[in-house]
Amino acid sequence: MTARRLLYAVPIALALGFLAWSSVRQFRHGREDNVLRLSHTQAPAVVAGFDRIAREYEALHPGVKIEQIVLPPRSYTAWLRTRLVGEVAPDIVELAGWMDDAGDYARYYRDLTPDLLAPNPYNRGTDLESVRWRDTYLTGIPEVPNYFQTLLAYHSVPSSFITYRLIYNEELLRKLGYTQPPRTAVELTAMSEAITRRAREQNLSLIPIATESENGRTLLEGILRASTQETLLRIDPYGNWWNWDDEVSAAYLLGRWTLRTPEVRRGIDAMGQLGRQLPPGFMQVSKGEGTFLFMQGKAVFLLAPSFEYTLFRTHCKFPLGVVRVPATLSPTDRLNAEGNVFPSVNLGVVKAGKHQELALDFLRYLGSREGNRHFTETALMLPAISGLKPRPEIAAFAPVIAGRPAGLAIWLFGKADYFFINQRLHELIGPNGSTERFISGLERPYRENQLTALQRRTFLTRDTGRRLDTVLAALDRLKAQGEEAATLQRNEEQILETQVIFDSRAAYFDLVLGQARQAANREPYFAPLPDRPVPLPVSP
Amino acid sequence: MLLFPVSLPPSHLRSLGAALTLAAAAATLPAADERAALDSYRAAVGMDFPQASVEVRQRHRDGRASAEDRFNLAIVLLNEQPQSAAKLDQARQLMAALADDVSLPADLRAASLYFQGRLEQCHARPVNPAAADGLYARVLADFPDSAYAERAFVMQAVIRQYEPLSVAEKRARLLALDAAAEARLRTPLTQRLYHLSAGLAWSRLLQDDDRAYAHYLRVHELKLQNDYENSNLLVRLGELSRRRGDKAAALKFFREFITRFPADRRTSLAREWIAVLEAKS
Repeated sequence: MTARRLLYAVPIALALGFLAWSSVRQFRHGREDNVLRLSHTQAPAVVAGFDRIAREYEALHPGVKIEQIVLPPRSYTAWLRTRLVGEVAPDIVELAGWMDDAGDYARYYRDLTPDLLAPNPYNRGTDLESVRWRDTYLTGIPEVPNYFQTLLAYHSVPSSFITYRLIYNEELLRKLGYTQPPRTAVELTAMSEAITRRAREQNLSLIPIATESENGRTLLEGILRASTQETLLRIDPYGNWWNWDDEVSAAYLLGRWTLRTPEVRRGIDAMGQLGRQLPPGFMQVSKGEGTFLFMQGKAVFLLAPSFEYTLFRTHCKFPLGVVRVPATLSPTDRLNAEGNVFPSVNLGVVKAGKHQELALDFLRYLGSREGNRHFTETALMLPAISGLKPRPEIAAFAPVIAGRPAGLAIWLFGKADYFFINQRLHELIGPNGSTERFISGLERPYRENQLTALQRRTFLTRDTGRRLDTVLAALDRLKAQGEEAATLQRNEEQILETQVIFDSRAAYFDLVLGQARQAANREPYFAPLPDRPVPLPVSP
Repeated sequence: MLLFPVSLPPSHLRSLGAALTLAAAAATLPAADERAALDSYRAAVGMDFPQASVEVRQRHRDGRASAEDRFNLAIVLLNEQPQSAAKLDQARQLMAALADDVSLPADLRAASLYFQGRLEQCHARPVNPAAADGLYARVLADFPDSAYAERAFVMQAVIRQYEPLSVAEKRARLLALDAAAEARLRTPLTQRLYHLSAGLAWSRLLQDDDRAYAHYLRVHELKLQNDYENSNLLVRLGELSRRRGDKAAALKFFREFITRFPADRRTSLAREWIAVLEAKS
């Protein structure tokens, strides 16, 4: 073949190739009227779970095809954003990562409120037949990213829930001479001390507890929250038995608890003792490193979420033990109750999607008792729908609502707060650390930080009411012009209630900040805590 | 042609057609405008503020802004991104002008005044509760029979509950507000809103369990709509009943809480208290 012929042949071949590819693409698109696409970031076990119910759904609805798009978690948020903005997102997406503005959820995702407030047709023939779909979920899904208090709307449904457990290498624990796992934080500390000593003496490549990312801090925070269960009830102004952390901050600024309150100090002390057994620099260990150590048999314990348990079962070559995270100081103390567990694999319907109704119907199937049972059994995850039992392999992770409402923590305001306290933790758990050194070093900056953080939180608290003003005013005008209120899917009464709750809370925080900043000899704005009956029943 | 029994030359027919088209367009113009205004409101109700903003700004650019459009723009400006002091000023001016225009319908004027109060109470930076209080007072005085008057009363009460006063002054203030609310509020909605705000204020500011309990009880009777807050309300009523030694009420509210919120982290403690209270009988 001459060069001249090649000169013609290559572009012609390329053009024909492009034409063929384009035709196939056109043909596929033409046939894709009933293809539902679902994007998520989950592990292979979850992919298998989705695959199972997708095939079941396809069998129930001939002609429908469901495709999964699985992406790595790190790139998912950026990928999804781009797709949503370009209006080319899949029909159903996992709501992973956070949007800066809650309003974006309303903008991109279908409002599922009316659907969740009606029964799920796929529950027909069961005892959930006439129950509102929302109420069939174990927790009633009252929190983000399912329900948005700021939007008064539901924008996703969970496929499962997450709990945390201390998992351990049974074989290793036995070899180290222990017949049972730790029941309390004190026992975990003592075991860890002994393991560290033995590893040093026998030159073993072994650590007691592997940590990664926020695990170590979560472990320590659990201890403090368990030791302050009664403190929280005592400082609770409402008799709620539980409060948002910003209310705890307000109580701190009103002097109702301090870092030296006996239960708080005892909790900090226990945190310090266990913290000294964690690997040096445990706050900086990135995700995966602790898991790797544990899987290699170089760590006895690891704090693990339920959704990762399959991974450990598959890859660990030793028998695994699972126990509730030992957070109490004594075996007779009550653990923190696990109600209101975190939702997992939260799926929303994209507003710009071509198949909104079909997507919603698929979510109904996934959120039905039968669909969710099949999904969670295959994915080996905790069921999201009431009346379902988890598979025996994962039963130890099932939420335990027995116990007491968790107490308070010193970490109260998210990441900024974490950094502020974490950088001082060495004064508690470092070589020269002590409870007294940590508390006396933290006291003054802690108060300053609470003032700044609560001020910022007050602004955000007010934002909920602010956002609803535009909605309420528009709703009023539509009604004034004869629009049927029922078709607007907004409840004016809920909006006003939410505004009263959030606006009064913001006004309360303003007053707390005002008192905290005024001279000590000025008359206070708040009555002191009165003597009240005991907040907790006497333990048997 | 069959429609016209009288024969006309084609040029006349074209002219007639054009005239009819123009007339039809003129007739539909206000309806289209109205629809556009409603579309903007609908976008706002769906919390699609960017879309609401696009729609209403387009009409302002076209110079077709009615009083309804000016109100529409004002409420969109409250939440339009990026937020700025200039936008709030513009919203403030629009609402003030609408409220003062006596030629406008009373409901639109009352709405303008009320939402100007909301602007000062929540949107202004820093918030200006004194200005909001004054605007709510105007709603109450100028539009006493409108739905906005009762809303304004509640919002004004929230401002007054949290003014920096000594404990003794605060008690007198909260008692006075309770009495005024009893006399003024007629609808179950605003009564519920007031009792909710008052219960929270008595709890937070004065730790007065008895007064707070009476308000929370009314909120429960008037049926709180917010599901999330309902779980707190039931725990509060149970716990305050227990503190006050009212065993029957405590048992009733704890049981209702467990039934309605079985997966809540507080059910276990509620069960414990039920067992203790039942053992006492």
